[in-house]
Amino acid sequence: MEGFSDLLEEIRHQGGPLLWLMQKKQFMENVEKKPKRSPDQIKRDVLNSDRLRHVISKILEKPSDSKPDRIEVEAEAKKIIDEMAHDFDLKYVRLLGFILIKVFSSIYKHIFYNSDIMDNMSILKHYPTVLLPLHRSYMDFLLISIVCYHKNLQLPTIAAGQDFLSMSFISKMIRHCGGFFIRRSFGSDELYWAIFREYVQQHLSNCDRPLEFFIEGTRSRTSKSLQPKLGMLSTCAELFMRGHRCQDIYFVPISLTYERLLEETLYSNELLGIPKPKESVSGLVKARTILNQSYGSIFVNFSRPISLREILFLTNGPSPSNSSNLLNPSFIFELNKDQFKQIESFSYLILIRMLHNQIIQPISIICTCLLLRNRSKFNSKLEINLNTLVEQRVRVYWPVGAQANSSTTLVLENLKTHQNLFHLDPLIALRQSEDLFESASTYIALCSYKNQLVNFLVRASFVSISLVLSSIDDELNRNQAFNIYTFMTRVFSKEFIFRPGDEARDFDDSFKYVINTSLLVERDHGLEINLFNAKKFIFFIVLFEKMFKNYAKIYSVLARLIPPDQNKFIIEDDKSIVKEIQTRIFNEMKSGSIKNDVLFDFEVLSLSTIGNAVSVLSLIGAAETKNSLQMDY
Amino acid sequence: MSSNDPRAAKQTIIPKRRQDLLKWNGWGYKDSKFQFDGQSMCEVTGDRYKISGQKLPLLKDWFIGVIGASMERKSLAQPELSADQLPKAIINEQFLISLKKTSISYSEDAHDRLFRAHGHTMDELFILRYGKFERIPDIVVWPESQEQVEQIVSLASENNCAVIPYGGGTSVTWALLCPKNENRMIISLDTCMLNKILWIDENNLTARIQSGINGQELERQLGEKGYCTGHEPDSMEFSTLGGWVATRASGMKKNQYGNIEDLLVHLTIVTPKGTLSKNCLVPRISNGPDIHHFVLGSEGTLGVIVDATLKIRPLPKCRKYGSVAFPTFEDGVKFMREVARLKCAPASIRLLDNEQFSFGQALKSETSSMLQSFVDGLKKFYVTKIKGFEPSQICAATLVFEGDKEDVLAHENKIYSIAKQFNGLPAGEENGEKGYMLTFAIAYLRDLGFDYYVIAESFETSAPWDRVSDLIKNVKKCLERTSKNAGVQYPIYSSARVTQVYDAGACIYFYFAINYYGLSDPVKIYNEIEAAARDEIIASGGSLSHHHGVGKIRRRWMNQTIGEHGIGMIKAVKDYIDPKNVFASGNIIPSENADENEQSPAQHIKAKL
Repeated sequence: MEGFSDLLEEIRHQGGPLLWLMQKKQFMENVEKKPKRSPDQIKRDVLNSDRLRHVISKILEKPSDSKPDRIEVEAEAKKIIDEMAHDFDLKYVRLLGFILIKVFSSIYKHIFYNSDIMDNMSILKHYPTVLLPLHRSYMDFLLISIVCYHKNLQLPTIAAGQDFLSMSFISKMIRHCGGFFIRRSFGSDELYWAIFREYVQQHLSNCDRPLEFFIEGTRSRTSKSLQPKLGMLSTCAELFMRGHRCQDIYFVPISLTYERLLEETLYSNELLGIPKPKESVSGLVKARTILNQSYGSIFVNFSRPISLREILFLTNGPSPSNSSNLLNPSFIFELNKDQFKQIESFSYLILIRMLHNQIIQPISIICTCLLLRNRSKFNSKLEINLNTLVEQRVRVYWPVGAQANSSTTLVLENLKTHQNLFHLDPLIALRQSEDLFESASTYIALCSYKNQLVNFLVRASFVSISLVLSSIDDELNRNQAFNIYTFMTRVFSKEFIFRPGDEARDFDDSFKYVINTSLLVERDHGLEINLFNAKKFIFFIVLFEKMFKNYAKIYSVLARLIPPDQNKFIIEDDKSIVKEIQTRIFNEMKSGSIKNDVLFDFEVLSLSTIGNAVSVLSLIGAAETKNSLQMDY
Repeated sequence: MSSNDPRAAKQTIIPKRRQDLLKWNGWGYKDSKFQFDGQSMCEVTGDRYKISGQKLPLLKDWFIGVIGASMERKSLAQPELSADQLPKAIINEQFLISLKKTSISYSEDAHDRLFRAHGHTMDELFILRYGKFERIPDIVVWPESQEQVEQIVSLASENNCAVIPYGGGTSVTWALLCPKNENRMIISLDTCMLNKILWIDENNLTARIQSGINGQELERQLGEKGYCTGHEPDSMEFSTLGGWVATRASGMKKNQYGNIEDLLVHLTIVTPKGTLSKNCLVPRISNGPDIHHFVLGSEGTLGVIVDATLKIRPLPKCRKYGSVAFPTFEDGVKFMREVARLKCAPASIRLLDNEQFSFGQALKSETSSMLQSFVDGLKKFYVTKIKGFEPSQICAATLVFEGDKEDVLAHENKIYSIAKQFNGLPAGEENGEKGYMLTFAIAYLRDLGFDYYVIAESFETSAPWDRVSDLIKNVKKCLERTSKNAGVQYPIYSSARVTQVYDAGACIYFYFAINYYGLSDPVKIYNEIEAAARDEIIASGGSLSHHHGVGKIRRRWMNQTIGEHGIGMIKAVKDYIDPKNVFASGNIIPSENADENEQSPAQHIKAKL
């Protein structure tokens, strides 16, 4: 594809993985030439930092029953940092890189990375840099490190969850490759917070290697996006916000898309509640069977870096409200509410940028079309106007032949990689099974490809729907539509990524789109659907129909779980209620008492859908829920 | 003055017609300037300074290599404007009639008025060289006593005139600029005839001095009696006692002698409400808020300071320069911090960064002998090859020790042993002296830059110790980045030094120069860059100013730095003491017109290309 280079091909050109890895490396250096520190030195510096000394003495002063003494607390601190720290060593990177490239060459057709990567990454020379990839697979961070290695960019220091800690061999390898481990949750553990922040910030301010973390916190099982998590981001931003310990921090959004995910079935099983196997070495060995198949192509897109300063500093300017922390010594700092809001808004900005820089592969478009109407058999006609994608700034990679619209070969070729999900002969059909769960699992796997596209299209779709819903006597009412649109973004805030505060702008943009592309036309009495373009408009209207119906189904089941006399209800145990709803719907489906084709699809069984539907209730206040039910019916 | 001072040593009395002695459109004495001779060798004219008459063979390379100037591309200043090209004076007849009845000397000459229309920011010089002031004072008066000052102020007040006091004219804050929309007659009150030491008290070690005396003359006269104040701001050849008080000045030897607020025992100020003074000369007082502190830093907005009683000290028996080289700036900062922690700072201690250190090298005069250059080469070899200092990272601390001989020696030993802990190498007396020479030479050098499309400025701040290093790094990055974004086409020069140490922090001084060739709006762009740097300083925990003051150039940040109640307190004092706003310079308090706060007076002047 234009603007992209194939890593695997370049490695072959350089004489194969072995020669590629044994090359002498001259990594791009920061111009400030700060002294390089060994992993052990970093640990010592963290333990000796002002911040840590301050926090430890605070802990010792606290009245408590246990009365810990200094030695205990310091030992605890040592334990925490040992558990956390990476042990970067290029030797191991080369070793692991060799194995990975061997494997990758056999399972992937292409690993594409954007050719202007060096322009975007040259920022490394001057500023602390943070790499922010979308998290879809365990492959993500491996791929990024390999691309960095290939382009002589300093390999990142990667924040990883502690999932791997139980496997000492693997966790050692990860540490050697620059990964460090953070607990999934550490609430109000002051000591842990202090060590974590200091560790992360020292890496940034010393900027010998970039930092990398996943803003979504964990792998998105649905290939939509998870809402941004703020722990790591605010820790980075803090360095800038507490009186500019650095002049700027640059964030490089990295968008990865997979033609076929390694974890495809694992994810759909997990979404259905079939427990996730605990990461173990034997599990990984079993995963070998996976490696005999083909997984198509991958895109890694290192986008233009985003300056934290330009977002926070230039738009708001320094003022007493954001310089109040200057009245503390530099190691005492707490983000105030406003600052936290700014970081939250920044996180959405980055995440949306990441989503929009995804290179979409045909499978996503095919799945979107296939699933638009829920049938078990499909024809190979693409029920989408490809211009729509261009208009919504979706960049699509067409690997086979011309960009033939609704070409049968195109569809068939692209489905080949996914034969585990489809029958291709005689007609394209989903693999069905007697077991409802198994069928659902296949279906949900398919959804994950459709989902790569949803964040591109959701705004236009919601605006179209809201315009239709707001019409009174066939006149479309813009203000009313905006209210409905805002409401929709709130109800489905867990499913899609909407930046808080951007509703009006998003609405305007999509409204303009709908008018400019003549989906709607302005008449004297108001707006009217353009009959010549109705098909395209209807695409936007029906795009998320299933999801609305899934929500409606979930709420109707939920309603039966609430005692009738209560106006509001309190969800005591999120997990069990989600499970309960899933079981009920499952049983209904099994007994055949409902026709899922008409009302909803298998995604209604996904714990992610049910969980989102339930948890959003507390966000918007239960009273408003009834309203939503009415509206969607 | 002691003989090894690199400053001008001749006795010089500033005349009423200042332009006879001083440049009308540049820094300092008419006879002293840096210029490139036929072979593009830089020479220093005149005979006032230690460096005068010398050739500086390396400066051209620095000029071309570092800042991208070209000997062929010149941007020479316009010739002196004739009287009828300058703004017409607004005359208040009543005031003029009353003034003529007194014995106060005055001038309505256009060039006298022009001379007092400005300070020495880049913008003001840019106007002098390439443009025209929109508003200048309408009359200059030279009172010779407190009574005459009182007469002028009350006449001005009665006849609805404005007064702007004028001391040495070395302000770098637009403080002397006349507000454009001031329609009253503006009287420039020049204090240069108030230049006497009224008395010296050898028991209490104090002296009462009139406010118009300049630093050099004050030290010379006290020196004849065996005393000094020890107050030596970089501008001391021209700046005056009144100006120091009005701006909260700081001298380079404040470690030994204190800043102006530490030296001040008493002051007298003539205000529209009357003359203000205290009833006693005491070392300290608990008498409510100290009224001196309303006046210190008031920047000419409350009245005219007519005299001050300062502490004096016997002249030190011994003065010695010194210097220490450090492998990195961070090491140097740690050293400075340690010296402050141990409270053993010498009279002056400054840390120059690598850029300033190299610039100092570029000011080396023709090495007099083969031997000397051989020794220099050897030193360089030792420092870079044996000690492993990276030439692009080296920085230096310059030192001045003062006191009795044995004390100075002991002090030196102590400082050098601290330096050793931070990898410092003693680098000799001469390098120390060079460092200080730079501070007075720099203002002359700026004029040289002006001739070649280079504009330069200095600005300063103070910060707590733990933020010093980050602040400097941030500001340099900010300058680089904003310049690039603004379209500056040549590499910029930015340099910092830690120039004062305190128990709780330090003063940081920046030099910044750009080659504006190719830009049509250099002043506008320059001001945007400096404003961005100030934002950066404030966000990094630095102050609005350590000693330059606020004037009009920085008033836009006042609200942000002291809050509205802070401004309210300052306004309340002003409103009481000067209800008719006779002292109408408009300094400190932000104007209600936001544009006025932000726009440079030279903004409209386009560069000739």
